[in-house]
Amino acid sequence: MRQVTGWGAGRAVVVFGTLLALPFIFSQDWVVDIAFFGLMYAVLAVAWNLIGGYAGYIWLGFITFFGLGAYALTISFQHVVLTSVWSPFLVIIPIGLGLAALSIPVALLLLRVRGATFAVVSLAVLFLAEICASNWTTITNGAEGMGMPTPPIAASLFSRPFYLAMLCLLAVVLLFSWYVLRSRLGLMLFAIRADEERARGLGVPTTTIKVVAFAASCGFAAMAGGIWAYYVGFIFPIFAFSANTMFATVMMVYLGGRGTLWGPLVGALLVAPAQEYLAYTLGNSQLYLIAYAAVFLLVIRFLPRGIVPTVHDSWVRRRARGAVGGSERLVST
Amino acid sequence: MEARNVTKRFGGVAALDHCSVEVAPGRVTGLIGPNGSGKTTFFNVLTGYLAADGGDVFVDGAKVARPTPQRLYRLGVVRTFQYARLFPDLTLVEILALAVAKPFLSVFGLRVEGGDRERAMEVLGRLGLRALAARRAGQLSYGQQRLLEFGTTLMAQPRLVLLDEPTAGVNPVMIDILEGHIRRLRTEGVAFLLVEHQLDLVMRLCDTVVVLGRGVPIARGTPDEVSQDPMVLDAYLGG
Repeated sequence: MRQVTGWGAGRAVVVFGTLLALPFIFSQDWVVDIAFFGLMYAVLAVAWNLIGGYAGYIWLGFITFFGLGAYALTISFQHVVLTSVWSPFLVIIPIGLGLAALSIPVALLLLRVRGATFAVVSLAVLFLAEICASNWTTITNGAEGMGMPTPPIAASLFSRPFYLAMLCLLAVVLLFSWYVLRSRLGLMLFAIRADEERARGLGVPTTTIKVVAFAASCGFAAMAGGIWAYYVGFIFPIFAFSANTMFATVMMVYLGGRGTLWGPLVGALLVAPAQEYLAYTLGNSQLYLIAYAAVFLLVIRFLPRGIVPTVHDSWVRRRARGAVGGSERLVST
Repeated sequence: MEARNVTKRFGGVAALDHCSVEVAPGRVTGLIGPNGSGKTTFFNVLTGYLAADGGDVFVDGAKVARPTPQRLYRLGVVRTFQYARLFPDLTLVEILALAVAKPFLSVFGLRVEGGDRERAMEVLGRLGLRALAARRAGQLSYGQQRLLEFGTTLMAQPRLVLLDEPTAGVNPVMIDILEGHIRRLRTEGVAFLLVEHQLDLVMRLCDTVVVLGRGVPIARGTPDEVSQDPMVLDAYLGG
């Protein structure tokens, strides 16, 4: 049973306080740029965890909604001159809600299958989206890409507003994830992950519950995509609907701890900055993809449940041994 | 509850062929029959897990239009499964709280509401599992898991409980506990439909026994009548 504890709230304050202070302490733009991508992956990982972690549905079409959010924002600002940096951030909110609504029919179609079949079919959605974006040139301008208007910000501080916007989104998605975990919705999602037929037998409205988690995760992905598009300024189908982004997100969730509150965030903040840093230093060689595969294999071999559950359990065990009631605990187990 | 003329085909094989069975409140109805006679299929149709090819399900004389597990659950029709693994990562209290039938909007409420927790503790007390309330179900023994599963049916305030081989793999002490609970609930007006291979339990507990053979009821009556029916002996012993 998870409850609000002073310890949990304190952890959130420390984490978000540090993240908030970071662009003001390290004001070099390249540091904030790397940190921006760390936060973006943290949002994606925490959002994906809602359906992939809590409900156990390996939704590999997730980044489709990241790309749709990116295109939705870019298209709506095609003929606009920006006088303030903030207005597109506000448009991201209705885009997120709209795409969450649009994801519901997709969910109803896809969630009819489970397990590996679901994963494969959902990956096809991502490829399909990329093909559509590349070829529907009247709307997306195809492979030539399309640009956002440039906001009026000094180049030396360019990353900062985007970083702060992404940090806000991270706070919202993490709060949502925490709320789901302590609500009956979370209990039902965990039951679905363990045994969907059983859950149905206990009266759990499985389809509705899955759709709620699915739509929420898609909506947050769309918002992250919007901020990303605005930040990078020019988007192409291969980057907006990228399988690399998809698998990176999933790997971060597995590394940090699938189905936990903090795991996806920890995984993303470890891997994403490292990936960005390597991309800077190694250039465009894509060598980092090999490192990726290696990390994934190591995680599966040594930390099958991810960092957060493993560390948490060993901490609990150590505390149980140290505590006065330790012997009693050992007897009862 | 009543099933009328239920038919279910798998390919060309009719697993159930115009099968009608009625279950009365406050009675335990046994459903027996040799392997492959359609007991589990019938169960799955009655609980909405399988859509029938023909025939209807009635609850309180009203036809259930499109039976789904959720809809029947709300009507007080609950079931157990043949295998006992019950959400290994959830605690006993959480599993029992999950089984409470609540309006949809409650999913946005607390994971376990205070009232549900109290009821769960009460049910755990009755089953002798109270000390294990905060444990995860995966830590229970097999017999305890089956008892917990039976406990979930108590949380739903059921009117009809369908038990699919509740005693398979359970030790005699647990069977006695289970039997006691069934008898007690029967006096409270709950109906039971029991699929069971252990015939002495069926004979001891059931008010009515229905024998299925190749998807149709071939006999029904009190345990004594059924056990002397030549058709039944024939179906069980081959012929």
